[in-house]
Amino acid sequence: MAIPTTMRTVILLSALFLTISICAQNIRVRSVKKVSPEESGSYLLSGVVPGSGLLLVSGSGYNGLCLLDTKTGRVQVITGDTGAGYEPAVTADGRKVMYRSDSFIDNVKFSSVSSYDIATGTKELLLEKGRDVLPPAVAGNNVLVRSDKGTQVEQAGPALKSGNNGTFLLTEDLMPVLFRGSERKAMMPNGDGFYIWASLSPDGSKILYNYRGQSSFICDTDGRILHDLGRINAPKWFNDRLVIGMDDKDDGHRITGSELVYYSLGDKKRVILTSTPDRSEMFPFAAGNRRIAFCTDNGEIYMMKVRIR
Amino acid sequence: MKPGKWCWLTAALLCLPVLLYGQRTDFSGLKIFINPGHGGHDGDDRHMIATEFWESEGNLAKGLFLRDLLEARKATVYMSRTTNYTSDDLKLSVIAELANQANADIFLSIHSNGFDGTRNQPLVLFRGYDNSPVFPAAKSMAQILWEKLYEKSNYWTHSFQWVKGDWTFYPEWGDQVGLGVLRDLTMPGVLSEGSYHDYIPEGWRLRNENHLRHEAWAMLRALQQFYNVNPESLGIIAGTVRDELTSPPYYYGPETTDKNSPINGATVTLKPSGRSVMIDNLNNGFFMFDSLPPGNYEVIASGMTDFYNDTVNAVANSGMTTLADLLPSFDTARVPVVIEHLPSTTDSLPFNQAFSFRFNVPMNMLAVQSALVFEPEVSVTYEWDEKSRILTVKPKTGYASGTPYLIRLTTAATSRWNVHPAGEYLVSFVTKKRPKLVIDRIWPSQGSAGITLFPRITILFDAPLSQESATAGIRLLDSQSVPLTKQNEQFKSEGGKGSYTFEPASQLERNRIYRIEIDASVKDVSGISAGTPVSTTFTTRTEAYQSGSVIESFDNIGAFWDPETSGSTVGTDNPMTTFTASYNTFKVNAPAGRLDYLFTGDNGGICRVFDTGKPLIGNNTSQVFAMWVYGDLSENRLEYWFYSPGSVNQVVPAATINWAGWDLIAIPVSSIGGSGEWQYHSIVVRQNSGGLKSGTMYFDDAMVFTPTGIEVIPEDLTELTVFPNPVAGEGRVSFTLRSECRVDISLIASDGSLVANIFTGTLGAGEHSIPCSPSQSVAAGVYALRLGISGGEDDAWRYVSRRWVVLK
Repeated sequence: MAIPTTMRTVILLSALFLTISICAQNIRVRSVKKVSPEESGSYLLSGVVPGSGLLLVSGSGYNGLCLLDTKTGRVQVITGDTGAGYEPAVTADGRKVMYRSDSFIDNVKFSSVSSYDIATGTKELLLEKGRDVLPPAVAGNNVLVRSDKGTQVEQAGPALKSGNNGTFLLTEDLMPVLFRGSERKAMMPNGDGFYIWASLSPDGSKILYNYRGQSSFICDTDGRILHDLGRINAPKWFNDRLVIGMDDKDDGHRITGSELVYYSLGDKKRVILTSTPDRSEMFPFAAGNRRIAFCTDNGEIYMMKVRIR
Repeated sequence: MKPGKWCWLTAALLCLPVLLYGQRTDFSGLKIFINPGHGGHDGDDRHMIATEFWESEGNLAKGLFLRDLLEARKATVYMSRTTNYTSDDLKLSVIAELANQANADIFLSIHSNGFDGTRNQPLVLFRGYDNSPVFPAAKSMAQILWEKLYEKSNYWTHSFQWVKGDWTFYPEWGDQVGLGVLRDLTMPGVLSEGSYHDYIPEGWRLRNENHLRHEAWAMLRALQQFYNVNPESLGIIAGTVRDELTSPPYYYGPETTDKNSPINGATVTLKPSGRSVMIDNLNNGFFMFDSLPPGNYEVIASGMTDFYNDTVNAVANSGMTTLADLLPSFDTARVPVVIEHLPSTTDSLPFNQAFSFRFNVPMNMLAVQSALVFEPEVSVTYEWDEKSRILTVKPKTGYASGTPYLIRLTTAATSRWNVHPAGEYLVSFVTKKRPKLVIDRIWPSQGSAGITLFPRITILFDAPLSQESATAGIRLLDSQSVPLTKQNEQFKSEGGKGSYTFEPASQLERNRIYRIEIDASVKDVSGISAGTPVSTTFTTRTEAYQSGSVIESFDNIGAFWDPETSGSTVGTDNPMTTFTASYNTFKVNAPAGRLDYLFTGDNGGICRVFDTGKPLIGNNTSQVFAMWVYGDLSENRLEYWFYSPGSVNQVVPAATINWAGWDLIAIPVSSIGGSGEWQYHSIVVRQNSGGLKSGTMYFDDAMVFTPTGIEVIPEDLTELTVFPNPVAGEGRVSFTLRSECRVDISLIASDGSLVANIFTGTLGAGEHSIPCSPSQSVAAGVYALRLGISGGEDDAWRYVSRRWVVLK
């Protein structure tokens, strides 16, 4: 039976797409450059502003939040609020930064959530100070904030034409929770135990998390485990097919070393990316599709150029 | 005003203080994160051999007790672990992220501390510099916690408030690096080092469950003050039961309550509550009664052998610990009795036999000595134990040969409190006939080989020697029968026996036969002579000594800790066990390190000298680590201790100490466990059963080098063969061992580098055939197959090698 031309084209395109999607990716390091200013103290890396060359950095205890321009080394203060550097979120269009601010009243933690417009420098309070406020979650240009009072979703920019616009992932009481429209779905893919460092893949189809501090995993949004990544701490999506993270070591008191590692979903293998006994690379973030930003245990920020194959 | 409005107003006024000061009745709504430090008995745990204490266990017990106390007061508690397996030893980054994701209000990491074994005080750390904390509230909490930890006890060695920012406290880790577990927290966090587990009295206390619970109470009180929670309405009475007459045999703070030995197994009862607790047998004497209504109590200690019951009055106060220590008095009216005398044998006793008498109560030493009579008369010396309960009597010169004796302890003896025994105590014995001076041991022994070129010739006799006769009648001769000049002659008399030792004035030659001659005229102090001449021969080592890169010269004696403060030391008499600089005896340059040790038991003692310099020795497994060691023939075991990366301790047995004089004691670096850059950190003498209880050793120039002329095993000891030769596929290494040995089989390239380790382990006596396929792992070429063995009669490593051609 002859296959119609249109059908043939669809089959060929589908085959090509499948080939691309299952093709394994690997990371090779091209160069590493220190980007934190020499004279300006110690930093923690908090995130990346997409498509801008800007990094989000904070001080000790994740206190304060700044933009670090990796091209000029210029630092622009967003806020000096306590805890603002812990898991800030940036909208997909790279225009707004959402962050949680903490204050301790009679030594009890209260938090609020604000947004910061990078272009204008204007701030907006999204959630009043309260208890059990979680770091904000972003899907596309939408942001979800949650506290003991409930959940609210704010549109912080135009809707995306493609990609994840409406699926959010939060960690509540050490358990990943998926929010999709009015649906709230608690996830415990590995059963009882604690879950940390949970995040959604860029296409919103998979969940990356660390279980009980022993191993990182990837599951789908129904909780089916797809990958056991092994020991990768602070895992982050590099893209939909690669995960980056750190293999840190300590003696129970101090960090004794840390190397960057990655996991290729195509190869199902974990690879050590760095081997630098004199430098402890920690908490990496994808900075575009050819760069990885990371910090060190002594508060320096570096940018690594990589080649993806 | 209507009555209803009065009610509301009254209620509002009653609540006013609460509203103004934020006083809480409990911890409702608060999230507290507890991190019991370390986890699992693995590499980063801290294990104290002397007390069998594991820090991971103590930290966890304290954490679980605190959790229970907090949850009973409505706190929401998160814990980084609730069990103690290796899998519980989470990375510090994971623990911090857990606390962050839990959105905790406060983070508390629970630890105990270690330093040099002489310190015991709380230390609380927060993130930041001393005067610039990252979270100011963390410093406040740290100060409160330190106060609560300190005030609960009275056995601290230091009293100043020790609250530090981690960046200030650990400058050597780098600026603003600090504690990994506090690094990434988004809330105030503190790390509590509650006490010092290497201070042995505290190490024993940390094994007492009530002591650990007491620390949890102190942490609870700190959190109550920090969060303005109503303090406890109930109180605690805690304390120790100790012997006022004795002090413990290990280090204790001289100004602390630890100067009195704890009493094991006492029952402590509290009246009027009727509660009682039996103290454990873990040398801490600690008891605690918690949750006590305020008021007056009687604390009664009972059930103690040899002690009267003791009572103290104590007042329990709300939210506080009242310390109530008991020092029960000895039962002074008890009639003294000899419980035992040793030896119990009565026939053919040595001419210098010592006797010991054990009494049931402390004795009046002078009264006992006056009441002890030998018939016929003997001039004796007296030694007492520190409790005045064990008397050891030794003859000054010796008893007569083949003579019956009677020892009579008359009723003139008295206890320390002047109570006389009910009757005389008699011991009779007959001495052995002793026709001649007996030689107990000669070192080097007859026919021995591989002897050091710097020996101390040692001859042991059954009686102290006449020095003149020994100097004239004992000599060392070379292979041409020429007597060598002697130096550093020493005569010793101990336990009724005698020894004579000396060194040749110059270095011996390699692979030569030497002879020790003892004339028939050599005699003891009582004039009994050897009667017949004795002669022994020995052969010196075949290989020259190598030198290498010196990593420890022992010149900076301040870098070494005395054994009593080095941790892991156990079973030593501390005032008598020291590590000092020796300017008279040294191998390379003065000073060398001198170790004087005295073990208190018969076996199992450990004497460790910690080198704070912890010099790196590299990671080259083809090299050898060696040290000049002056042996004392003690037959104890010499160990070298190393750190592999991560401060993981690696213990390597180096040799049985069966030589006297200087010798270079080497181990292959490949025999050290772990991998990476090793650090040498300690010399350890481990007491063997039958080993000497006391001795003196010296140490000089520790070094690493690549072996070239290594000492070889006599061929007939091993019969080493490699087959086939050349080898292309599977080959076999065959050899024979005469006794159980540690074995190391390696393949060595022509440049001396290690290319493959084929086998490391212990093998029994007999024939062995080890399979290996070198062609699969190394390039084709000519190699040396090296067999190293250690053990049997001599624990030093020795090697033999075979040329092996590897084909592809």
